[in-house]
Amino acid sequence: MATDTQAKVQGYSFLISETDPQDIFIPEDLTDEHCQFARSADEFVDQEIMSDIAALEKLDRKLLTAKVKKAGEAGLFMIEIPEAYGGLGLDLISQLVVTERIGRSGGFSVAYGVQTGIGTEPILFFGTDEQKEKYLPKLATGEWIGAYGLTEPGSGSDALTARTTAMLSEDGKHYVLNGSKCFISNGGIADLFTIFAQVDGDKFTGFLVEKDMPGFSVGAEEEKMGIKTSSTTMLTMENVKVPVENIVGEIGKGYKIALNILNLGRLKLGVGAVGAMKDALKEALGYGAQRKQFQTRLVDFPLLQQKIARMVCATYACESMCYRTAGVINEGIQEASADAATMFDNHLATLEEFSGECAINKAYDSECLDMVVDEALQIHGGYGFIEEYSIARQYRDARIARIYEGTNEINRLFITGNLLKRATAGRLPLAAEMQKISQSALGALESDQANDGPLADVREAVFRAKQLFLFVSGVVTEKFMSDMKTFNSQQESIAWLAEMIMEIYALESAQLRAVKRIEADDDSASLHEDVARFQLAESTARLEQNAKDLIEGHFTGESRDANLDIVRQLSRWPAANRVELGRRLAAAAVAAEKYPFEVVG
Amino acid sequence: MRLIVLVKQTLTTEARIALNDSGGIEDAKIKKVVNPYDEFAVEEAVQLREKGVAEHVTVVTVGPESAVEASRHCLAMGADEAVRIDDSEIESTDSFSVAEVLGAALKGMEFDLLLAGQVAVDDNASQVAVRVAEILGLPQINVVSKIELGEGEVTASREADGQTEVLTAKLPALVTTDKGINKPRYPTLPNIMKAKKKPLTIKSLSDLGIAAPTPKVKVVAHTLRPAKQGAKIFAGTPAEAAAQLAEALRNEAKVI
Repeated sequence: MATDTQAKVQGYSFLISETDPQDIFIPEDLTDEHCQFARSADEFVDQEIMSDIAALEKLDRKLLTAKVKKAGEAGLFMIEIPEAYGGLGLDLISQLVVTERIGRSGGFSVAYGVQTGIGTEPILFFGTDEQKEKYLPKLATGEWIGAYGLTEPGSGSDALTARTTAMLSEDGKHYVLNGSKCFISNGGIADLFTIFAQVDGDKFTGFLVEKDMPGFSVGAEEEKMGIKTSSTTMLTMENVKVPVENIVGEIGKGYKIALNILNLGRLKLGVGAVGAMKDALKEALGYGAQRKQFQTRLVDFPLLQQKIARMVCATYACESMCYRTAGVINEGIQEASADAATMFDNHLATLEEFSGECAINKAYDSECLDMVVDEALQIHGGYGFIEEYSIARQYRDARIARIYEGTNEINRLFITGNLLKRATAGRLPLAAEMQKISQSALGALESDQANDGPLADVREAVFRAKQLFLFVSGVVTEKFMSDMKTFNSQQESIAWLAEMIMEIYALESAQLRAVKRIEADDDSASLHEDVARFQLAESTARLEQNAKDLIEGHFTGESRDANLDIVRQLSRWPAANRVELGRRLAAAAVAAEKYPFEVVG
Repeated sequence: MRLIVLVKQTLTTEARIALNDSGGIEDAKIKKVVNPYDEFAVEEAVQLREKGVAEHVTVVTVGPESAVEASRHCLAMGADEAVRIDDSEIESTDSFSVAEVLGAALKGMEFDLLLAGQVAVDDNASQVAVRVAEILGLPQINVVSKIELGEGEVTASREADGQTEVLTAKLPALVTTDKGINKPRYPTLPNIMKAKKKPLTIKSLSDLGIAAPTPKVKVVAHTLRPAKQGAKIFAGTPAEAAAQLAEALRNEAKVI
């Protein structure tokens, strides 16, 4: 395994190399200014959203629009838009801290995410100067609300096969759009839509469609299970004449927009989930501290403390992953911004490089969120099932996160598929690393790392987890990588490999952050140690199960037994006492009455 | 017209107070905020400037380096300028010492109206602002819920026993704000960015040409409120229970 930590971080390189804790960005590295932004967003959520949540949850388009405008006044849409177009031109970290804070606002966070993400980014990254000048200042202030029309009744995950058509008018000045889109977030409140349509039948292309263009109509609101504050509608286009200058990007290159925009969206979804996790945890801690049964506060029952510890730990791992990912992407973007001419192309290249990590954050964080809201509701007992308590809404709001921005199933296929594609294309020396493992005698698989330093046991586990992944993925993919047809028929295995990749990223990100805090002599260094060890216990159990399923799914008889032996040898994880760790983590959370690793006061 | 607002950084009222080994308040990890009553004063000043009746708002703070956050917060709310007087040379920041220092600082500054919160939520002393006015010989109207600036004078209303008192004072004057006078805005992102470009000056006592005042009050000890005791229920007939209660009040609680 490569140990050259000076090498530039690449997408997925965490799987085959070791990272120096000092090289990753962690929440504790946020600047005072980032914290000020976070507090501003917090004030906004408290004063504008939570104070009106009952009315907002009844989905009142007028009220929602008013709140979006308020967010515009607070400058919350301006973060990533360059100053030249009325924005603040701030870094990605600033956007993430704000997105995290908005994450607890349920349905409003969807309106927010659409406005700052898919509503703005197609123009920001692919628009012409004229389009940027015309639309970005309006989107930056919230004067206009944006939306994005990709999904159709017949094409969701399979988005590029959309049926909406665009025909060039005889005078060559317009494209005439026909078709319909569904599940459009912000549909009922937006002024501007990026709509994807097929030019000449098969050239998938993005168009900027204004709501007042004749023939464009917005359908009724969907009645949703959660995120009820947000507007979700159908869109129908009947001979909508869109000026040719409203094409975004190039004709036939709409897939570039659709795929690239998703990357950042997935990372933002992940960090929004972190915000929602912290909020659910706080709700559970608040309820659990005042509710007594058998003359004992709920938070004093060890069984509930174990739940609290799992919630804290999952939040820590997800938070660590999000900011680590944002850190490398931000660095790439800052470097790319040196040259204005190639800036946006380089931004996109950076996002593509880390598209795997973005997908990991999306799938892993949204699943952790589901666990967290579920346990937070459970701690509420019967009251959790009553709408009077906020946790019921939080539970419902969380569910969509596993579905949109690419279902978690699509993301799993992407995480592994993308890695293997890169390995095949020679972008990442994965095959060489797999080979090393499979050729090694078992004895040689031992860590070559110095067995000391902070959290050496967890570091050792991370090392072994990577060895395990490389071994299993090596022997398994050898059996089905020969052609893509077989590859696509192996979806279970591809998903299990993706789960191993996600688990390694989560565990390593938690370990690196904890070590960085220990090295910084943090007052709560021992708590960081505890949470990293708790994550060790969580991750390794799942890694081992995935490895076993993969081997048993592809081998029989002696070769199965031999491979399982290797899996067992590699799975000799360091011990972690979940009882003690859990009680300490829970005690810290109960004392703080919130997520105990919160950086922004 | 120039306005100066006196601002103090305090612990949040939700903070759980703990004592450190030397008996002081362990405040390193506690969130600090601008004293909410001072925030009303800052908001009022910014609104007066936005209405065009005032031109310039300066916030003045006496505090440690970490109080710069309070200064920045006020700048992001819309103040034009901030001054922090470093308190590291002041032996004990009692109301007297802080007022002496502020008095000296304000003598060198130009202003028409001085604003401050009527009380700070940490020590609840309501001392500093009124002492500063005394030092500077300013008229003062305290605990007000409405402020109007006129030609050379300020008119302010205060609630008293369900009545409203309206008082007028010649400028320069001090007015202290009560809660309810306005709803302080939170700093928006663009204003946080603008605040970075606004002047924020740090002054030492020697910059002000004064020696550290000798404090009038010495903090002897901090003690935490005793933990809440659970309620006691006396069993038996009403007469028996009443007898036990009287007994407990006399001998246990020693209140009768």
